[in-house]
Amino acid sequence: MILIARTDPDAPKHKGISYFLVDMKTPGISTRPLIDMMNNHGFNEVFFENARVPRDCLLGEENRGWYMATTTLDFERSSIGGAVGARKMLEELVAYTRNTRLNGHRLADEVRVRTRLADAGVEAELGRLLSYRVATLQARGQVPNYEASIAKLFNTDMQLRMAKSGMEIMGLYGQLDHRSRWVPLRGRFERQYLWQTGLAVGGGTTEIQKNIIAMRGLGLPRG
Amino acid sequence: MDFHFSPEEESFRQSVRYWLKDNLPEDWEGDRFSRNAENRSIYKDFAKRLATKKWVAPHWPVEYGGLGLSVIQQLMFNEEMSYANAPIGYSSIGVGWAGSTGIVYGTEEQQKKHLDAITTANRTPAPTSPTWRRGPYATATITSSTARRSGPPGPTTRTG
Repeated sequence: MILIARTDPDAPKHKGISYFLVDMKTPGISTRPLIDMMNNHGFNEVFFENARVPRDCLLGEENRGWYMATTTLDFERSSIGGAVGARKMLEELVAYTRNTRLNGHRLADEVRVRTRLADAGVEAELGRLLSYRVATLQARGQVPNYEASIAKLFNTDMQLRMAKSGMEIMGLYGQLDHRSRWVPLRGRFERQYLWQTGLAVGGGTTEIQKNIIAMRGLGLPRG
Repeated sequence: MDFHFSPEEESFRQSVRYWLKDNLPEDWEGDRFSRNAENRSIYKDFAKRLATKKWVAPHWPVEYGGLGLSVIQQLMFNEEMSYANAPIGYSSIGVGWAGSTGIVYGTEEQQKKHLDAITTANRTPAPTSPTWRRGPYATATITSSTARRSGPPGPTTRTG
């Protein structure tokens, strides 16, 4: 695990923090799963009770951990996974509306559904291009900055809209749990809808991304 | 200006796509990042398969167990993995955060110890407490903790 701990209590806030790589099997470390609202186990509460962390677990220079942690966060960038996930969901949704009949006609024939899907198609493509832009900057040896925030912000919101569109098009079936025998598309949209809430927090919250875009992208003063 | 990817890049993308078709369980519908116990053997098996291709961290330099992929190849790889919903919960922290930071700041010994285990998918996840139960969580009463240095001060690693 990555452990970022204060090692100099008297230093100013960004100084005096160190970065450790600690073996989770160290005696004294125990975990308790945090099961999220998708019934997923992705996080744990971690407890340290008289755990000994040997010096060779220290990464880099003592008390410089904050600056290394910002390097760690720089590794998450293009948000391409979200853009691609949305495209796949859209393809599934399109197939579903072609194959599902309601009141004597296909869902895909309904204007309301068609315009919704067209909007979603534009958004999914836009999200992909925003992610490509970040990767292109990296490929040229430049450091993406607010461009990465734009991609993250847009793709997160876009995936949520995609999940919501899917659930609405499916009507009440869209809300079924993925284990239900009546659930369409294996419940992917309902799961995505729940999962997306967390993605608006992880990797820098939506509010933080907007701050970065405002300050570094638009040159606005610090709020 | 030509916005297309090169033929080599496109053929790399195809190779990833076909490989994923052959190596993911048929009709795979698990969550990409979860560590759910029910699918643990699938995650591990898939991580091992990735490791045989050096695809756990293919963008890492060759000397650290990667293939030194270009940024564009890495983008394509991630795109295909995501499209196939390929699970990476087994290695995501190691590859995405801990290991990558270790490449930048770690000593040679630290890199040997951790990076190889990550890229070969040769580590066992720490056990979680067997006594947990679903439902409201017992709120921990500990709100802060302290640590104490013991033993002699060691050499300080320089960072760049």
